Amino acid sequence: MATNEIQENALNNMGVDKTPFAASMLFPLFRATLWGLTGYFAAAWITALLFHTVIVNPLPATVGYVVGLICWLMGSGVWEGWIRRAFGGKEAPTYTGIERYFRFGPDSKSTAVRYVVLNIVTFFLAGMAAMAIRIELLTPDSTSWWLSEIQYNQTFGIHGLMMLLGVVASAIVGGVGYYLIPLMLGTRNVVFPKLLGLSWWLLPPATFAVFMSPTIGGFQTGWWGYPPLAQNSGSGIVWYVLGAATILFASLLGAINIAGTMVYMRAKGMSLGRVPIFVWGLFAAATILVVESPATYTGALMDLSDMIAGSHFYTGPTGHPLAYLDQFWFLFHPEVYVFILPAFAIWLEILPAAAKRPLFARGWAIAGLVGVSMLGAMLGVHHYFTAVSDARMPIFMTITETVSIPTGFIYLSAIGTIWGGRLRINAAVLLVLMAMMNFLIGGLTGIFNADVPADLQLHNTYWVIAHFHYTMLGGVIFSWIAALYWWFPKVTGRKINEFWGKFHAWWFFVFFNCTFFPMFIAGIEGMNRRIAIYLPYLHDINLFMSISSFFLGAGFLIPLANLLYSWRYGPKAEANPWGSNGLEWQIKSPTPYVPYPAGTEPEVVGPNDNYAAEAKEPVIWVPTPSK
Amino acid sequence: MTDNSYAKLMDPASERAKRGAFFFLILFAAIIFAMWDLARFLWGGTAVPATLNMGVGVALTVLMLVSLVPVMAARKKLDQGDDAGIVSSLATLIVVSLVMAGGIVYSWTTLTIGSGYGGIYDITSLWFLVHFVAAILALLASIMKITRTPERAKSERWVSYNVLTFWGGVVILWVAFFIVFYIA
Amino acid sequence: MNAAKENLWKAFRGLVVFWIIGLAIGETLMAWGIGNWPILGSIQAHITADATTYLLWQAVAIYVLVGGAVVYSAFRFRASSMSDTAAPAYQARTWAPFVVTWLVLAIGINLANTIYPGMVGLEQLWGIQLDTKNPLVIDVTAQQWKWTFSYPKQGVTDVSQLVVPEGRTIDFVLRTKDVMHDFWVPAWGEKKDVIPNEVRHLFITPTMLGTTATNPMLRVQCSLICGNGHPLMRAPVKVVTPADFKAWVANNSF
Repeated sequence: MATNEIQENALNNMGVDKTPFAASMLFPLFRATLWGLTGYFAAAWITALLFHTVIVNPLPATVGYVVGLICWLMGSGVWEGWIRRAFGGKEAPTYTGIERYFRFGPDSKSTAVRYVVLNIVTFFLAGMAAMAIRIELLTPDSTSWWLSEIQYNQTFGIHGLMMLLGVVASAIVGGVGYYLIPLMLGTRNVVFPKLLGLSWWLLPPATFAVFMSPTIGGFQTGWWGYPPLAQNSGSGIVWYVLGAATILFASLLGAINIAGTMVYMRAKGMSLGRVPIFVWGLFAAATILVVESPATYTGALMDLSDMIAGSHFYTGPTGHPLAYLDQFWFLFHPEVYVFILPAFAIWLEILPAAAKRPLFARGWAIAGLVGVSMLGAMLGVHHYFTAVSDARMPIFMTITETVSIPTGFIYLSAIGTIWGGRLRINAAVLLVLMAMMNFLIGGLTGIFNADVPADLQLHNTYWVIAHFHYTMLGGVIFSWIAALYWWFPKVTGRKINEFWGKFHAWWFFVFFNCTFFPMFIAGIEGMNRRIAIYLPYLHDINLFMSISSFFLGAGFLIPLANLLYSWRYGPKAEANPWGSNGLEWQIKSPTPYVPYPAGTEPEVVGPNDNYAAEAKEPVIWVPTPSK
Repeated sequence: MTDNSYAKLMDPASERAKRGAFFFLILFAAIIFAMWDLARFLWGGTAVPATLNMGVGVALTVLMLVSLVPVMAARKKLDQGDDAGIVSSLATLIVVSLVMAGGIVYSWTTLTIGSGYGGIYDITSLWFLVHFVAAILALLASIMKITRTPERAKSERWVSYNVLTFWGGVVILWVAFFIVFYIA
Repeated sequence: MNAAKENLWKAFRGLVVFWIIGLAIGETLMAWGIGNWPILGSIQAHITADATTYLLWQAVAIYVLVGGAVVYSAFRFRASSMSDTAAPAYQARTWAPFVVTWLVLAIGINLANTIYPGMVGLEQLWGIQLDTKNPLVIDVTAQQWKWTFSYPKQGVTDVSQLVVPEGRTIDFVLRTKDVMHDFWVPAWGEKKDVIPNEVRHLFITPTMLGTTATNPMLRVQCSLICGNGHPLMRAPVKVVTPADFKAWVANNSF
């Protein structure tokens, strides 16, 4: 194709650094760790001395965290890569080779790859926490040989917070979205490349702090952090608050880039009607973060202030603990749409290319994505129907149930796309189909929690646990792995092993359902959530769920091995292995450091989902107009 | 001549994009203050404690409004491409930031954080303090970049524009803060 | 083009058969599941369980219709292999009858659900509360990690076991001494959060005699995480006849 010839010629002159990996390239990582830990201990210790206390107390832990975070960032390369030149200092060198993966930099592609690695590591650790929970629940009584009740509470809190904010919040948006958004929109990079680079470097210290929170006393509130329990069940809550706020801020930096790139940096000819559906999904998620996350920051800071500064927003005889619930859920309900909307968009991005059909009812699909993000802003109250006055129930019940209408458009579009097509089912497509089936259960069981009479019984039982695992694990994680498989050739130039991909897809599907479906029944049978000890009549069903969950957990080693092995030894893939019309596939794979050379840019001349036999190429390459 | 360095190629956003996308950040920052402005009545009731120094509040607000003059001057110089000319305006804003920070810290001494009003006043003004510290750093960066590397500053004027946009946003938010916390 | 259309209608007939089989299997399983429903020990439990079971019937139907369409079409319209890259003849971008049917059903089911079981259930629950002339008032105090019950009009104070008469509406007055808790008796089908600095009411009309020992669903259980004693923050429940209740009050009041 002429397209790639233009590319090939000019790219040979780009002279990208081809140095192979050397251990010295890890230097920024080591420096960041050293500076971060030094900064933390120095600041925490000095604060403790000044206030005549010990460093595990809330105040020194807070000061230490803030200072440690800044030192970590400086060590990671933010100093020479950004701050120094921003103050008129020496220009930073551009790292174009392998080195860029291990230091702060403006390259969205290496940032995205770092996201994938971090998400996998976090998923593994938080998954271990889940295994610990299920081991505890093997027996109904208190298990002295395993976790104490305090440790159990800390474990599910860490599991919940890290799975949500450390994994699903950034799995698709970060690992897949940040890589693809410039390529799909036809630009070389996002609008604020350094902010995007910064967003990843905020995550490791935040994640580390949350995992280490038991060392300063842990927190027993679960991932909600509800006061006043937050203020009297361990100092670890300060790392929960700071870690969550840091990760949310990282998401916000990404959201600003997504929205700004989508609005201002589309290629010539890419009208809003031609923007790829995945970018629409990211945009819908980004608007949620920009508009709704502020409320939750205020809640987090006030929770922290009650802990360290002596204010009484939520505690004491004049506190209003319910206000925290309002502030917290104002974002954290829509936040689940930040997780799932990009997953929806992944389905609708993959299915047309796999079925060789145009995206069915595209306008309705976009209305669905944007509609969910807008309706989602107004319904956090359904998370605490048992706490609010009667007057608030009908309104929030109605709005919550309405969300199922735009959500349905995604299924409408997906079914219409497959219908009459020729669906080529590889591991990625299989995972997408399974994610659709899982999310369907997750979505339908959500209606029960939206419906106040049913919710008054089902709230805070295992029914809810099952419901959101069907959406988050069954929906988002399945789609995430599907996306990793589908775009794996784009990033590495190789394909994954299809047999093992399909094998573990079925493995997941079976054991996922065996683990979580019984939780619906356990909920109806009266098992409330967040308990280390339950009544013996629930023993059999818990035993079954625990054993299934061990198989499910072990199964995650298969895709890990598949990704690692295929990255080095997988079969070589051509530039566009799935025959997709997507703009991101029209450039070389793996994507060069500069995706397409100086003087060239794409112009969109047609829809990217026209797979009819006589269809024209959707993109042509034109010389960059001189200003 | 077109700049085809890696740094330029991999930061392709136009000045319009850089300045436009910045408003998403401003929107985010504004909503945080909106939450606290609204929450003030939940925790603080409708009364304003007598210990709060109204004179300081009025003075700080007037100062914020007057600070729009150097902002306007700096914007005009930026429009004209006269980067060197804006340094004094930006330096003025640094001084204003320092005075504002001092005023905020002083007002903390007049309130008790444990009381409803004191808590919400303190946390909101603390968040303003964070913004003023950020403003000082950003202004300093702009000044130093202009004086040390005028060429680079010329090609990255959007940074200075965004700093001024940020300042304008803080002024509006401060006025809202004054109305809600001192008058209402 | 004509041939392609014919094939699609034939495929649709297959889908209808698939749906009918799926609905028969799904709803039969659901009937069996609902037949094994846990005990419902109060009028309120019947109202909330009616809402849940109705939504279950509906969820199974929607699951079969939507999920069945996904599975069926993925199987029916699959390509023979990944290398089979020929584009299908059918390339329509939308088909109004499908979209309109979908829209009408989605909006219709939503509106219907808001009315029943949503508002109808709420009205029933609120109606009991409003119609109760002389409820039995029980003060419930939650604290980390135990429940205490007082019967102000009967003069029974600070007992750790909840004893209530059958058939009389009870007004539970919920207060907490420390953090948030949640008052829940699973068999009674409703729960209510207990919030610091606030007083909450929960109205329950027990209809079934029993004790925690005979059925563990009849227990007071804290249902909102409240610290390390949370799982054991339970209290035994005893639903007795009005006569037995009178006797119990006489033995326990001062």
